[in-house]
Amino acid sequence: MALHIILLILLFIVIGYSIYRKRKTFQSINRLLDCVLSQEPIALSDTKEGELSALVSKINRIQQVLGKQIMQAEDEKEQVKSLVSNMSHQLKTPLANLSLYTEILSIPQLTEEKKADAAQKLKRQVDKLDWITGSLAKMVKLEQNAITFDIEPLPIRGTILDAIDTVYEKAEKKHISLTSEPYDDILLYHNRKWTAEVFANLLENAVKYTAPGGAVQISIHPYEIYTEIMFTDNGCGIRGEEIPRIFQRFYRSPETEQTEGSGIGLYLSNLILEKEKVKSMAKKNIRLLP
Amino acid sequence: MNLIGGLDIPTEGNIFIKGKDISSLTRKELTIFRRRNIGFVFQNYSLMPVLNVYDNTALPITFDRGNHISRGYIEELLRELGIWDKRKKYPNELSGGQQQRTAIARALANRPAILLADEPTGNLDSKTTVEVIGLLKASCRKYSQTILMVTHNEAIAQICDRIIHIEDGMISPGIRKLSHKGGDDRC
Amino acid sequence: MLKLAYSYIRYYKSQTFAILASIILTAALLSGISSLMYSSRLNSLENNKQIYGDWHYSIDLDADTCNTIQIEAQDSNYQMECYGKKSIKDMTAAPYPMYFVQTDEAYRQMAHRQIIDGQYPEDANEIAADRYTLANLSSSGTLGEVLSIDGQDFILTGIVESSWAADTDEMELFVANSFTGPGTRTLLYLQFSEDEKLYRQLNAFLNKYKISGDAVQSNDEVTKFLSGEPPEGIYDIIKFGLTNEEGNFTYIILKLQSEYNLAFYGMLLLLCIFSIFIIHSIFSISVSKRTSEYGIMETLGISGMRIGGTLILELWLLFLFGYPSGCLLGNGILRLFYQQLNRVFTVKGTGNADIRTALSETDRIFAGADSGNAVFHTAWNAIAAGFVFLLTALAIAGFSTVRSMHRQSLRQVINGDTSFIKRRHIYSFRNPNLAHVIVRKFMFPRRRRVIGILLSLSLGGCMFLCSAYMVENLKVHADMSLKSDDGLGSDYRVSIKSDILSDTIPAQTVTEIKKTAELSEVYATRYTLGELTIQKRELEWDKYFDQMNKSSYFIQRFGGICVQKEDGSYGIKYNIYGYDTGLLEQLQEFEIAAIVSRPLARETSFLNADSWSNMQSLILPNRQMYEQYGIYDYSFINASAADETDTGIAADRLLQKIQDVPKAVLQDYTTAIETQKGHLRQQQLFFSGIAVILLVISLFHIMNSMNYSILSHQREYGIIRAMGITDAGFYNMVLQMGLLYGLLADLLIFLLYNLFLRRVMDYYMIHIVQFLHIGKTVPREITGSVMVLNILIAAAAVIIPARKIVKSQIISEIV
Repeated sequence: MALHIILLILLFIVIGYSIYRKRKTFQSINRLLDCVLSQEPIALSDTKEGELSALVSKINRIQQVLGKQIMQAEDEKEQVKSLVSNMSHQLKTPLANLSLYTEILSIPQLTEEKKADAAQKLKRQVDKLDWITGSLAKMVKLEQNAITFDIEPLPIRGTILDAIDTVYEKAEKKHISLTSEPYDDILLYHNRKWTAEVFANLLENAVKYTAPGGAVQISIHPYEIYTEIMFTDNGCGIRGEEIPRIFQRFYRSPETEQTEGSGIGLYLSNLILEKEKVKSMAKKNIRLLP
Repeated sequence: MNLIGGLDIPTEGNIFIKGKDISSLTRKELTIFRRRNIGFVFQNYSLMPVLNVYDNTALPITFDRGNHISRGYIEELLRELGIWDKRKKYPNELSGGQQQRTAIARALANRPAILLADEPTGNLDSKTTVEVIGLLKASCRKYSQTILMVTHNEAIAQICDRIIHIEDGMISPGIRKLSHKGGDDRC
Repeated sequence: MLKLAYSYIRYYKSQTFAILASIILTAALLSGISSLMYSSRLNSLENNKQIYGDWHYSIDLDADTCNTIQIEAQDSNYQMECYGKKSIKDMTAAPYPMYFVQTDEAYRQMAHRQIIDGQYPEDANEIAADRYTLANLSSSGTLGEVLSIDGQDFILTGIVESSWAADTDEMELFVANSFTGPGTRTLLYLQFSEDEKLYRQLNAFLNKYKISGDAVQSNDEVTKFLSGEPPEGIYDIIKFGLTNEEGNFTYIILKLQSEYNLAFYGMLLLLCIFSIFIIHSIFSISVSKRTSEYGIMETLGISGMRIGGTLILELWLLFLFGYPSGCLLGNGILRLFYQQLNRVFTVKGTGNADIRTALSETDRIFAGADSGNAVFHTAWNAIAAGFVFLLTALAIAGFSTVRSMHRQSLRQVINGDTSFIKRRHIYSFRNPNLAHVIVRKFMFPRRRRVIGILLSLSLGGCMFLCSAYMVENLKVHADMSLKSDDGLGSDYRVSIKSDILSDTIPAQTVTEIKKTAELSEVYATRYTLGELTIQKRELEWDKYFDQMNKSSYFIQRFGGICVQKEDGSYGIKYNIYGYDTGLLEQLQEFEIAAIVSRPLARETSFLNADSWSNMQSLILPNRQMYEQYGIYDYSFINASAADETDTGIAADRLLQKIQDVPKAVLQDYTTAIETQKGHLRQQQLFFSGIAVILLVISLFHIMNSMNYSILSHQREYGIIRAMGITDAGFYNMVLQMGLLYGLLADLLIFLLYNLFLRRVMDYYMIHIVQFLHIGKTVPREITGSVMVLNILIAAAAVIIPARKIVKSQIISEIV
């Protein structure tokens, strides 16, 4: 009889204890999550044996990931702000020019020559505006994954030739030689139109930032798992510290302040290439294509 | 890599992971830290010969008692790596490449913050290598992981976000390239 | 090849050490036990020669044959060391049964009855006798004294060496050759050379002189050591045991034991097998460590034969070093401690009834105890035999190891050990402690390995339990067997050395003894002879008494145990005992006409004699003895020392009381009991020592197996430690496995012992050693401590290599 009572009491004790433990666990987890919500650092150790410590470790990571995401979001907000300001800056000049030229054109005593000249300049500014807004639109759409384009195995030569076509004139004007090593016309996964645009961009940059009389070279190296397409120029080059930043939105190196540019060319190219699962690198300009 | 993983003790200097000086941790705390935050892919797979592929993959998760094994995630991992239909086989029944893939799955199973990989694609054919690298990159993006890979293969190296050259035991001050997204600036 | 073997030995130090230690211990045990047994045998032989005489056979001849025979000592078929004659010339019954014997010098030498004082009688009226006889004749023992025997006067001319054992029933008076008497019985005593088998020599002798074998009596106590009878062929024994319906397994065992000393050789054989098993196991571990190397060697082109040869050479090198050292060790230690251990293997009765024993158990012990310093002999034969046997067995073990290696394909051999049970079962679905599963699978791989380890773990414990059981029984047996010479457990016994019924102990004396303070539990018994008449038809088995009737003992005294009367009915002689109340109570269940299995306080002078030791008896209360038969005086008294009384004083007291009673003899059991306890202690020590040594040998094996079991997976353990198992967690898992092994081994010991070994031991003890005390089991403390020890051993065996792993750097393990 006494044994039964003792067993019963033991049972109650055990049940009571387990309820107590459960509640404590709930409370500590609650506190942990509160810390996450209010972005406070967690005081508990995550390097102990036991379930609580394992949870603490995971919650720590969640906190970090959240923190990072918040930081990224802030960054993006900043970027958008600067984009907007940049954009307004970018647009300001052509718009100013536009109004200037429109004003000029509205002068009655203008000679035909001057009118044509002004009209041409106007058109150029419009083109530029068009290009800027177009790029911006593309950029936004690509970022939001609204555009899809087909990627097929196509011979690469055609694409490169397309790109060369676009910039050939500019290169000629600056007397920059545009050469390429001999290469096989291999099939690569890409979209012809967009990739051509990217190549064109790169070549344009090469031409833009190379002194007259310089050389731009295109070379292709097929490796086991990817093919490397390299655009080399002997222009002013990119400083070491800047290499990480050149693919960023609107980044323009301080050294290029003299030259015209919007700072979104490389960024756009990178976006497109990423869609094609291509890795771009700058080491004085190297591009990789799988 | 052994130093970062806490497997070795530095003769001088400190190692900081996520702002924490791991040389200040006791041996036991270091082990637990390693268990929860670091995944390993060893050079010679180092699978447990007595467990089948599935169990080998789930192994690190079970080290914390009562940890829940997310079956869906493991299935996804194994399918991605193409060894799902071999999940009940034992390592000595698999080829080298399959074993390596199992090792990678095992390293990823616990979604560790840091993945230390020693020549992970050494024995893989080119197609598998591409898939594996793709998987690593995707996982890294998704779970905000850092994957530290040691390789002699320049090509693989180029795929990474950041390259650190080590020559004769010293980090050579070469050019470091970071992608536009992710990654710290500090070294 | 020699160099390779030698360098392997040096490299695998722990295996080498384990194998070497096992060999040394086994050799020590083997040689020690053999030498011990051999020495005991030799010493017992010497002893018995001392007691029973230095002769082998005696032939009963009549006087004519005896005088005409020309005995040649040497022959092509036999070689006699010595022979002597004894003629019994006359006998007298008063005051005691005494014989007049004529002897020659040779006989006296062989029977240890030489003249120690004075000279041998020459005239017909001269006699010589020993001191015991003289004391009984109330002679002072001075030479020249005149003794009156049976009406005749004799002059004492010489004192003869006393024969052993103070209570021989026959006292001898040595007379000269000129003495004439009616007796014609002559006995020829032969002592053959012990280098050849005795029975062959005897047969040759008998054939030569055309003497029939019936007349021959052998000095069993001596010849039993020297193959006095032709042993039955083993084949015959087994055949008889198996085919004949009277034969059975027990018969085979007993016969083999008595003819070929089965117990001894059997034990040695078991020991050898045990050690072979252990050595094979250890060796196969060291070989499996190197399978990959051997695989590579084979790919390089070294033939399997050479590899096997190297392995065997290794084993043999170790053996050649270990065996002699072990023998030296064993024999050396025993030589030092022989005095403490010389009683362990006293050759007891092996199942043959001793037909002519003159000594009771007590006296034998006295005889044994006073034999002086026992000498230690080394059993060279056994050592050599063991050497050859072990050498071949080791070679076979080496071969089998190599062959098992060959069974695996070469590639598998290079890849290493892949032994575990494969199940297509995903563990993570059920029990997510996979690290634990890993350790379990590593440490409990194939069934064979597990069972092997369990067996060796439990073997030591089993042997310990068996020897403890044996010792327990020995203890009780010793206590009881001595005391139960008479069935009462008394310390002292007073009896009358006479076969005349009127010689008794007066009732007065008994009353006084009962009053003595120093004595307690005094029981006095009255006795008389009786005869029971039964009708012819009541005797169903009329041939039963034929054998007994023929015995000369009974014929001379009573005309036979069961005599047919003229009217056809039978008269059976039987004992009548009169017990007092104390004794009657000891018989426990009784009303009138109860049947008890045997009487207490047995008499030994009348019907209970050598031929038939459990005569019919009738037990009456003393009062009835008085009323029915008018017997008032007592025939024997049993007494014990009172509590806290010195046994010496009690014995003195008793002696005082019976001094005046003629022919009363006091037997003091206490010393015998003490001596026997001393022997028992020796035996305990010895068996426990053996059990401990066997335990140590199996310990090596366990340590080695566990060591290998854990260290062979060093790499995998390193990996899981790298992945995040803490040191404490690792210890925990490994320890759990060790404890599991320990518990399983305990279970195995328990089952093995209770279901199987107990029965074997009981069988052995019932049939071979012939004592068993039901209900006497191994005390719980010993069983408990054996089990706990087992668990501790398993735990230690597992922790030591685990420590090694934990202490080493993880990196070094993985790479």
